[in-house]
Amino acid sequence: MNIAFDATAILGPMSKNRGIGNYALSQFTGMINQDKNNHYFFMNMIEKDYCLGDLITNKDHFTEDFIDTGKDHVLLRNPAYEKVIGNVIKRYLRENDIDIFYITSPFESSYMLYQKEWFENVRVVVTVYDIIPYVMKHHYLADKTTYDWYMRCVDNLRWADELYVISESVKTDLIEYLHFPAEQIKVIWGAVDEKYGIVNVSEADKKALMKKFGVTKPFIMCTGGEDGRKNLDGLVRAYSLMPEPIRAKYQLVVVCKLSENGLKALRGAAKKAHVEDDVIFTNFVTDQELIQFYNLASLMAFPSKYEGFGLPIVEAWACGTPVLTANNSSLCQIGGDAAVLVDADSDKSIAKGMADMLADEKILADYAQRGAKRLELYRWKKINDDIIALLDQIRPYKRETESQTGRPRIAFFTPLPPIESGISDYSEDIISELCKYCDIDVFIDDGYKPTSVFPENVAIYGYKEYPARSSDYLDTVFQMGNSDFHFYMYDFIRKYHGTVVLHDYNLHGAFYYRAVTVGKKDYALYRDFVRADFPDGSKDSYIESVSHGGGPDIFGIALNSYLMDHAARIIVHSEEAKRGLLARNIARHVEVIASYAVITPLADRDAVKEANGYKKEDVVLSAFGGISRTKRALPLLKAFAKLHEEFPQTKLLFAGKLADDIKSEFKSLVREYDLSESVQVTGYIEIDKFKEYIDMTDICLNLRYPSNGETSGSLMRILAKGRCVVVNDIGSFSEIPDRACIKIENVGKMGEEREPDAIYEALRTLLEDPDEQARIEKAARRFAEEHLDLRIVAKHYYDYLCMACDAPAVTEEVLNTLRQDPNLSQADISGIAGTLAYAT
Amino acid sequence: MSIQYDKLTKEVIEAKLRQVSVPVTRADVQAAAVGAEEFQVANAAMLDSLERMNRTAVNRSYREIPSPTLRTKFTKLFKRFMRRMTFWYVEPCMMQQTEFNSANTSFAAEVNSELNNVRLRLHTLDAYNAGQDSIMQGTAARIDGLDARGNAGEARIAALEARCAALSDALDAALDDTRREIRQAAETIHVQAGQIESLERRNAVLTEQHQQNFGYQKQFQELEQEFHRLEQEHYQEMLRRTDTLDALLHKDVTDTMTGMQGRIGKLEKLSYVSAVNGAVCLNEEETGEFRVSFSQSGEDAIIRYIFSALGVAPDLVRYLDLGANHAVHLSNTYSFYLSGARGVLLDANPVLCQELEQRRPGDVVINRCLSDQKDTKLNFYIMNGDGLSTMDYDAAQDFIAKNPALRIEKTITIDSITIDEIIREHFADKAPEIMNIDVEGMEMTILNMIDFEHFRPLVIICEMIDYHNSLTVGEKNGEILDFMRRAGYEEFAFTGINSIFIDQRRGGAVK
Repeated sequence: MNIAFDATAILGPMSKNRGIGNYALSQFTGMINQDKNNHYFFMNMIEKDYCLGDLITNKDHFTEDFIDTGKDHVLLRNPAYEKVIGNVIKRYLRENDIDIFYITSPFESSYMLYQKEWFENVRVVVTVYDIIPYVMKHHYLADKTTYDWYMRCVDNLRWADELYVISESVKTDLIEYLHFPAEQIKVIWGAVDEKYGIVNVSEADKKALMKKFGVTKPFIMCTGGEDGRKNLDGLVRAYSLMPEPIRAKYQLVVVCKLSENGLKALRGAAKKAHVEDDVIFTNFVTDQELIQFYNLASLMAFPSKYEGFGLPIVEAWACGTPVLTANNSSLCQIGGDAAVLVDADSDKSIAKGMADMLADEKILADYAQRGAKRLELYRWKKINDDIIALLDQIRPYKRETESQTGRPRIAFFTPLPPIESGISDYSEDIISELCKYCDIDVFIDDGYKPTSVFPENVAIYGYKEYPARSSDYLDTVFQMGNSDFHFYMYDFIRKYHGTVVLHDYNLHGAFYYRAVTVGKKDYALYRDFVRADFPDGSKDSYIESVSHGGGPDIFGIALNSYLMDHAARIIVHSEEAKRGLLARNIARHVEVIASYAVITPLADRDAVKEANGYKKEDVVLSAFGGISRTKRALPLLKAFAKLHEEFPQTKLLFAGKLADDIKSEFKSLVREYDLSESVQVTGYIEIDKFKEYIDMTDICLNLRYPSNGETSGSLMRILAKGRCVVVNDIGSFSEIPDRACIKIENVGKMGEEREPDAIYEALRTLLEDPDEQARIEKAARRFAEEHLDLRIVAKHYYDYLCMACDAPAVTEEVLNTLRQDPNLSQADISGIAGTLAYAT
Repeated sequence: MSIQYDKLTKEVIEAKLRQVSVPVTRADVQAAAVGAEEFQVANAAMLDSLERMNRTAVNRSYREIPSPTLRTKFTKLFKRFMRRMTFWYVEPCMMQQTEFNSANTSFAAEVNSELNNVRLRLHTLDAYNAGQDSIMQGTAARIDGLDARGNAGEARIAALEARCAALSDALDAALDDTRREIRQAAETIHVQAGQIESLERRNAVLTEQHQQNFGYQKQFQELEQEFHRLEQEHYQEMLRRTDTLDALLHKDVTDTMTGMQGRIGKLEKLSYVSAVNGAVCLNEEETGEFRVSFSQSGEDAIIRYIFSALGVAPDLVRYLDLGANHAVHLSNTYSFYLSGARGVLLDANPVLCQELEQRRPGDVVINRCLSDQKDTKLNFYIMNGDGLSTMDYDAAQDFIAKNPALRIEKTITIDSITIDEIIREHFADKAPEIMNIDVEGMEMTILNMIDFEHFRPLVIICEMIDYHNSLTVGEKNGEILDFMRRAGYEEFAFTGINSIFIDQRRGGAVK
């Protein structure tokens, strides 16, 4: 089984290095090192540089993960982040296939409480160390806020599968006081840490220790804390009540950390009892000193009024020291016949117990011996074996994926061929691959009959049939582009959500066309389109001017939120697009799935050249797609003119339609440089011809400025066909690895003046170094095979569609709260951002 | 290890948390709304102009030209007609204009963007400067604070120095006192050392003496053993001779015995002189041989004579010494003990009894006081003078009245014993040959307790005078004399202190 446990006991500020923390540390390090079957996951939300693994020898069965919640654990302190933490835990449990989640300290007060619903299909066990605050609620829970908080913690125990308590007494308390069912509770007891044992304290060490703390006689040792329950004041009084001849022979050494006030109160008690000269308060001591004290003490007195598990008893035994303790709670259960039991509420009883023991060396020796024997019950090895056995008895929930039956069905909104759109071709290919994993119903627009041929498990419907079938699907996918072919999807996205594949980051053009042209100057709609992205009204004056006949700023103002705000999940093809979407609104599930390419055998370049009227020795440079200003047709022409003078065998091919706005300029440039022989413009061509032209090209040019955040289908094809391509270092193009293409500077950076020279330089370098060109071709093909292969992309699609996504927990609102949170320090931000990213 | 999260998402969140614009890309700055947010940093008028430029950049010949005055259908138709007519000329002009406009707009946007960058950087620098200023101020304040603390510290140091000086003076004074005391102590020690030296010297002398004493004691013990051996030898010799020699030879035997006793006396003198002060009387000048007597006035010698006259062997007699006092010194029975006789010694004084047991191991020593009552406890007054300790308080007081140097040293209680008990225990078969009564004033009481009908010692020695620290004459106790006579005893001799009575019923034969 996989068992995750939290860090609240080991590292929580209330528990670390104290009773609970030490207990949990010994327990879990021991369990992990002893357990050869289960795998343990330490989920540390508390201390960044802590490494529990240092203590683990059985490393194959242990994983530790740090989840940054801020130095002061800002994420754990404010209920506003509850969902974030919930998502983190849910994802952690899911990713690691956790069967059992072990809550190590359910009353670590400063942190938010675990919610039951985070642990669906996970068994939850909790260690309960005691319910002392409830048993003594008039003392500990007098304040209503504290009481309420405590009871919330208690309620949280009720849905746990099992409660592990550290003594019979805690079990009895849970049943008696809080009415827990007995079968929910298992007693695991506690044990002594291995570091406690009989040590030979050299005379010099002893002298140094005694001198450091002012001990001048044999002594009675006690440990505890200033909490009245520990009864240190009672012990001090009892000490003073012992018969003087015995008392005067021994000092009382109180070995524990005390606050200034606590120290003052206890000193006062000692003074009042006239034993202030013989009562010593060490305050903080090191582990080594503590063990020396245990070893040197004549007697360890621990007359606490209540303990979940009285560790000092077993620690003293381990050091060979006889013990006196109280006849209450777990103390009498642990002490058994191996400790002298007294009434903690009676100073006289304590005094008598101590005096009787100290009066006779034989009694002391006898109890030391009994303690050593009884100690064997409280060894970690034994306790841990017992706990592992308890965990092994827990039946984990069955894995969900195993139980799932039937083939999933997916709805798919897209244009299909013969619609002239890159997305039509894209969808045709994706569907034919994706349908290997699931059944697909394709919903298309009215008014055309698709030419695509799909396998049997793919059906094509008119979009109006979708509402009747909407509940049949694992998910609904919308292929979204910046054209009117997608208009029919708008209402469906807004109503049914689903997963939107956003091919063009900026849909402004389509939106404008839909509102103003198709909608016949429906400026109200246009206003909705714009305001979805600018809800603050910052574009209202712009809307106003467009409404009065002003030109739209289609490139300058990117729009998509009108649809994207309603998408449950978004798939994009570039990191850049993802960044933009998240920057607009963090509460989005965005996945980057590479645009694909069909990997086909490489063509014989020379043969294709000849088939298309070129000579073998011609060096063909090609630009694909519409010939426009943004595709840098004019600077390319200028660069080519210069190159052609040096390399007369070069030919420049524009495979696409020449845009109107540059037509005259283009033509005059061709004339000016006398390039009519070496430059060819194809006009619109079919996809097959398009592919053929790529096959015959020596160097492709895929230039762009400015960018619309789009990915380029042509570029993917070029890479898949193993051709060397020159691109601008811009937008999604930048995401192609450097080794698989040639990048020239972003025009925005270098300026248009320098652009032709930059293009010229890049081409010349390649022409002069054919080896480099070959190397890039190889790398391009390899990149396509590894990342763009349709099979890989389709699998990625399918996995993403099947993936369970938690409702977004990280929202702009949460980020706002966090920004203003006084507990957030600048140094925390980076780490916390990682955790939030994990929670999305 | 850490959890694996999406790095891009993390970057976006981090930028948002830091409240800086998300650095998407340069393209985004121009095209995306995120960029527009940055533009908002610049002044609004400029933004408006930019927006207008954007809006109006594209000019085409077919663009509608708004006309405020002519709004009729006719004018619209006319305009459209004119546009068609002039299209071939106007359109290229408009295209040129559009290109220029586009470049200009784009340039303006660039300028604006750069300006914003500069502003942003300036803003950052300002913030940084402000931060530096406040740090400087903080530092200055801290320096001031440190100065103030420094001054306060100096004042404290001065005060501490003054206190140190005062303490140092006090320390010096205390040191002087201490030195003086040490000097005095040293002198005292010097004197004491002298005393110790002399004590040591004395101790050495004492030790020497002790060793010497020890040597003497050892010699004595050796001699005693030698004596015992010789005694046995001579006893055997004597027995042999007694068997073989006739009565005429008896005198020679007695002489030999006397000679032996003389030698013993001499030996005793040599060995025991320091331990037993004057226990031995000598008449060697007269007789040339030793005659041993331990009694006060030769009583033992007298009795020896009686025994010899009666033919009683002195080594075979038994004695009962009531008030035995010292084992040797002034003892009336010791001479017989030495001869080999044995008996019972009674004394109330436990100290003396101890010595008796030591010195006369052959005798039975009873540390009880004589009384007419059984099982009672009686006071016994231990006096500092030898042989004077008594049960009789009046008697003790009487001693003291007579010799002011005497006093009661100690009063102890002693268990009583009756004379009958002693007799029953030790002399049931036969009365002793010698009964010595020396009980310092209680003689009469004791005599009264004895049943002389059935208990008849051959010789009874009884003290007849009260104690005096000087020689006393003519005060013999007539009461005792009368009593003894009535009991059938005749006074054989009176030594001035003791009377020696002989049993008339046996001694009569002597007469």
